[in-house]
Amino acid sequence: MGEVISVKNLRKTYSNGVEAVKGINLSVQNQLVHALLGPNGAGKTSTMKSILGFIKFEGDIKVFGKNIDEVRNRISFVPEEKNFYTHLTPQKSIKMCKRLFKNFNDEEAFKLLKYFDIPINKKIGSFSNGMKTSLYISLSLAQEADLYIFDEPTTGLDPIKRSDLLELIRQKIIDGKTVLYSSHIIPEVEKIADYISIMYKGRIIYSGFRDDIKEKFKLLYVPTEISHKIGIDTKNFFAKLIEDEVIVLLSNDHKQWESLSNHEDIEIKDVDLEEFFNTLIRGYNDVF
Amino acid sequence: MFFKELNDIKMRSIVILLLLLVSLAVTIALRPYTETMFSQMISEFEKLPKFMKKIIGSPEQLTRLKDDEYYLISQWHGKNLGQFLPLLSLLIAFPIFAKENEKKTIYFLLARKKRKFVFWVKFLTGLFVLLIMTGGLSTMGFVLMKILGYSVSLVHLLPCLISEMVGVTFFFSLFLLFSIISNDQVKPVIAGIVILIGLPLLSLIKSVSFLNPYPYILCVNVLDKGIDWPYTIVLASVSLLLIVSDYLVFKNREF
Repeated sequence: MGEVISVKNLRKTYSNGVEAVKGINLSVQNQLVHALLGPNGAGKTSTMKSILGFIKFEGDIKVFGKNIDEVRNRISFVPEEKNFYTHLTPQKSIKMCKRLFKNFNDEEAFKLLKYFDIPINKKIGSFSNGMKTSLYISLSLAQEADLYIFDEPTTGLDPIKRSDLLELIRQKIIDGKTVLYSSHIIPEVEKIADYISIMYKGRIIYSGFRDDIKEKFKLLYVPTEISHKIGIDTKNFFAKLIEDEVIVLLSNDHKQWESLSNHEDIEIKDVDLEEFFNTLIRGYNDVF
Repeated sequence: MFFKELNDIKMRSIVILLLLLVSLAVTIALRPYTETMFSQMISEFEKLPKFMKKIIGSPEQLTRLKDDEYYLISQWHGKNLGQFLPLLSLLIAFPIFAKENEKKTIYFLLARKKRKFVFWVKFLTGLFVLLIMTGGLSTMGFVLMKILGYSVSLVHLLPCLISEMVGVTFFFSLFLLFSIISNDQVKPVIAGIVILIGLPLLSLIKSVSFLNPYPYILCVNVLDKGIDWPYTIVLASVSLLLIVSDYLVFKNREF
C-alpha cells in the first residue's frame, strides 16, 4: 500500500481568527476509502480545501508524493456545494468536460446519468437539489482519476440514490483508486469506509481501520458509586463520558476489561461506530 | 477551457454587439442629415439659449462636422463607440470570476486545473473577445462609411484603434480585479459603475484631469494631434501592472 495523501502538522487559521485545523497529521493509503468523520465545524472541509490548495495553510501536504498542482489531472473532487453551470444541459456539460479533461470518459458519464435517472436535455438550472448532486457526482465519477475526494457527497440525495452512490464509490476502490470521503453521517461512513479519522474541534481524535473499532474497543458502563468505591482512574481510558449516575468508559486495553469484568455491577459491551463516535465526541471535553 | 469561457461570454457579447451595431447604423444613417441640421444651428447659433450653446460647443466645431473624417471620429468613435467601451469592458469582465465565485463552480475548475491555467485562460478569453469587438466595431465604422462613398481615410483609424484597445485593456484589467476579489456579482458591478461615473468627474479638477482616460479613449485629439504616445505608454504600463496584480490576487486568493 502506498501513501496517496500525506498531511503533516496541518494548521489553518482563518483571517477572522477561527482556528479550523489545529496541527493534524493524516495519511491516506492507496486503494482505501479513508473517511473523515466529524460533526459540523470539526475542520473536515478546511482539511480538504487545504489538500486541494484552495486555502492557505501551515504545514506540509503531499499528494502522490508531489505538490498538488503537479497532480491535479489525477484528482476528481466533489465539493460540499454541488453547483454546476446552470445554463448548461447535462449533455452540454459532458461535452464541456470532455473538452476540458483528457481523462474524462463521456460514455461513462452518460451511463451514470441514466443510472441516476437524470434528463440529459433539460437545463441544470431547472433541476432539484438531488438532481444537481447526482449530476455533479456523475461528472466527477466519469473522470478517470486516481484519487477521488468527496466532501459530504450524499447531501440532498434520497436513501436509494445514496446507497447507489456508496456502491459506485466502493467500485472505484475495486478498480484500484483511492477515496478521501468526508461526512458526519455515521451509517454512511460505516458502510463505505475502510479507514476512519474522526475529527473534532480541528483535531483528529482517532485514526484507525473501521474494523479495528469493533475488535479492539469495548464500552464499560461503571456506576459512579462503584467507580468511587474501587477507585477507577478514568484518565487511563481512551474516552470518558459521564451520564446519569453512570460513567461510560471507552477502553482498548484488554487488562482493563479483564480486571473490571469481575464486578457484577460493571457492564462491558461491544462497541459499534455510532457508540464509539458518540462517546469520543461527547466525552471529548472530559478527556482532552 | 477556452471554449467554455467563450460559451460563458457568448450571449452577453452578442447582445452588446447587436446594440452597438444598431448604434453604428444610426450614426451613419444620420450622416446626410447632420450637415443641414448643423448648418441651421450655426446660422441661428447666437439666438440659442446659453445652456444649448454650452452643449454644442463652438460654431467652429459644428462647421467641422461637414468633414466626413471629423464626423466619423467625433460621432462614432467619440460619441457612440468610445462612450460604450468602458461599459463594454465592465459587462465582459465582471462575471468572469465573480459568477464562478458566487455559484461556487470555481471549485470544479480549481480542483482539476492549475490556478495559473485557469487565470490566463479566463483573462485571455475575456480580453480576446473584448479586443475583437472593439477592433471590429472601430474598423466597421470606417469600412461602412467608405462603402457608402464618404470621404474617410485610413490615416486616423490606426490611432483610434490603438487608443480604444489600450483603453479597453485598462478598464478590463481594472474591472477584472473587482471580479476576482468579489464573492458575488453585485459588488464588482457597483464598483465598476462608481469608477465609470467617477473618472469623468476627475476632469473637473484640472490638476488630476489626466487621470481620466475618457478623452484618450474617445479619440478627442486624434484628428489634430494624432495618437498621444506618452499617454498610451503610461496607460499600457498601468494596464500591465493591473494584469500582474489580477494574477497575483487570484493566485493567492482563498476559495
